[in-house]
Amino acid sequence: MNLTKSLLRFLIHYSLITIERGQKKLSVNYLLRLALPKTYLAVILLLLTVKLSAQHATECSSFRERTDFKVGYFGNISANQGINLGAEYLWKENVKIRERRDQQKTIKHQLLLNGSLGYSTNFATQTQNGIFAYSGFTFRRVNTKSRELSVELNPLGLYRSVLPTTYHVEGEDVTKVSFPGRSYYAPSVAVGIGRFRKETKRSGWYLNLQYTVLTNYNAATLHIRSLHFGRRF
Amino acid sequence: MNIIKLKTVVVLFILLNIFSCSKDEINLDNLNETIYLRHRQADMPAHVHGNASDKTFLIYLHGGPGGLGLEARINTMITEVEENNAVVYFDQRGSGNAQGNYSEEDMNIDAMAEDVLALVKVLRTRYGSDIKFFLMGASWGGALGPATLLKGQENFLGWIDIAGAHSPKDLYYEYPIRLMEKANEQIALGNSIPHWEGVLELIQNVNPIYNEEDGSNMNGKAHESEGVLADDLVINKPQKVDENGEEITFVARNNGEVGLILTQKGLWRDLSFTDDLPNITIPSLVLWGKHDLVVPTKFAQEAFDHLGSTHKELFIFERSGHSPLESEPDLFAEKVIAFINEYR
Repeated sequence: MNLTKSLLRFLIHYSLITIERGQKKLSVNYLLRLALPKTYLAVILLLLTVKLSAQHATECSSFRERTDFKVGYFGNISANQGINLGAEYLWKENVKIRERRDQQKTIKHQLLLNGSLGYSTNFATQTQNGIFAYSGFTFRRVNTKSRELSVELNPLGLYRSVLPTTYHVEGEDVTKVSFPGRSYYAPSVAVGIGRFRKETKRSGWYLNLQYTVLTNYNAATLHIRSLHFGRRF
Repeated sequence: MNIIKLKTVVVLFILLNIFSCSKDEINLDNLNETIYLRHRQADMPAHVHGNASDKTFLIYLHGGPGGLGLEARINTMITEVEENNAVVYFDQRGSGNAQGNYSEEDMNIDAMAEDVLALVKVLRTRYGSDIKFFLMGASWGGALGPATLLKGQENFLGWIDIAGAHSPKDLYYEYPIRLMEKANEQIALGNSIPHWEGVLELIQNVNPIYNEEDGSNMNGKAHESEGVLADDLVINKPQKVDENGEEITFVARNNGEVGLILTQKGLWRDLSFTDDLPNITIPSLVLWGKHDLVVPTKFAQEAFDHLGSTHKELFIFERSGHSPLESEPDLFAEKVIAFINEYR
C-alpha cells in the first residue's frame, strides 16, 4: 500500500491533465485512484517482481554454482565428537584437458575459499566443550572421475572453549564467571579426499585429516588432530 | 488496565522462572558435577563426586606432573570412599583437562600449591563455609601436597600420602639401589630373568651425578618393572574399573609441557620437602606399596619419620607396587575411610 501511495504522489505531481466525463471534471488523481489499485498497480507490481526476481536469480545462480555447503562430523572418534557446518566458494579454477589414446581426460585445479563453524564435546566430563571457527584456502585437484585430492590451509582460526560453572579466585575474592570459557588462536591445515556426486557435479562426500594448533594453550600450544567427514550439497 | 496487570504478572512469572532455573541445585548427598577454578590465568576442572552430607571433602592431587585428577576415580574410590565422603578430583594447571593462557613463569610448584588453596575457597563458596577438607596426594601429588600444606595446612583436617615423591631430587640416587635390589631378588627367584638383567645393565651405565636422561630412563624402567612384577604375580595385577566393574580410561587434553617445564626448573634435580615435613603437624596417613619401584619404599619411612604430626600412621601394602588403589583397592579404601572417619 505504501508503494501505491508513492506512485500516486509521483503521478499527481506531474499531471495537470483534466478529463471531461459527462458534466463532471475528473482529475487524473481521481482516475488513478480508481484505476491503479485494480489494474495498473497489479501490472506494475508484476513487472517489478519479475524484474527483481530475474536479477536475483542471475546473481544466485552464479553464486550457487560456485558455492558448496557442507555438513559433517569432526572429532577424534574416541574421545571428542563434534559437528561441523561450512561453505566453500570456488574462487579460481584451471581446467586442463588431455587427449590420451581414445580418451579425453579433464583435470581441474581449483582454489577455493572456505569457512567452517563447529562444536565439539567429550560428553563424559564436559571438559572439552568448545566452538571452532576457521577460514582459509583449499587447493583441490579433481580428476575425470570426479575424485578429488585437497589441501586446506586455514590461517584464520578461533577456538572458544565452553566451560561449565567456573569460579574466579583473586586473593580472597571468589566470583562466579559469566559465560566461562577462553578463546585461542587456532590455525589449521588439512589434507583430504572426496568425490563429487555425478549427477550434480559439484556435490558429494569429503574426508579430511586436520591438524590444528591452539595457542597459547596453558603455557605453550596444544596440538589437535581430528577427522572430518561429511557431505557437500 | 486489566491487560497491563496481566502483562505485569506474565513478565514477573517469566523472570521468576528464568532466575529459579539459573540457580544451581546442589544435592549434597550425591554430588556429581564438574566445576572449574580460574586462578592466575589457568582454568582447572574439579570433578566433585560422592556423599557430602556431613560436608567432608577429600581433595585428590594426581601424579605426574601432568596426570589427571580422574585417574583415581576408579575401583573402591567410587564404590566405597565416595559413599563415605565427597571426593574432589582436581586437574592441576597444565595437566589433565586444565587449560588457560599464561607464561612459563606461572608454571611452578608455588603457583600449583596456591591453586589448591584457591580450590578450597571455591569449594567453600559453592558448598558452604562450614565444609571440612582432607588432602590426598599420590606420587607427584605427594610433592604438591606438602607444598600446599606448608602454605595453608590450617584448611585441612588430615593429609594422606600415597607413595608421594616428597623429595624428587633423591629419587635419582635411590633408583639404582632399589632397582638393583629388586633385580637381584627376582633373578634369584627365577622370575623374568632377561628383563631384570636388562635392569641391571641399565643401572651399570647410569651417571652417578644427576643426569636428566638417565633419570627418565630409570623412571621408565621402574614403571615397566612393576608390570613385570604383576605378570609374575609378585604384586596383584593393577585394575581400573568403574562402579559397574568395567574397564575405565580417561582422556586428557594437554600438551604435557608441565612435566618438561618443571623438570627444566629443577624438579628432579633440586626439589625436596624432607626437611620441611616436620612443619606439617596435621594428622597424617602414609600409604605405600611394598614393591614400589617408582617412588621406592625408603621414602615411606622417611615421610613417616619426618612428618611433624602427633597423629600419624604408616601402612605398607604387601601386594602392591606404586598404586595400592589399583592393586589392593579394598584394603586401600578401608585405610582411607578409617583415617577420615577418625579425624573428620
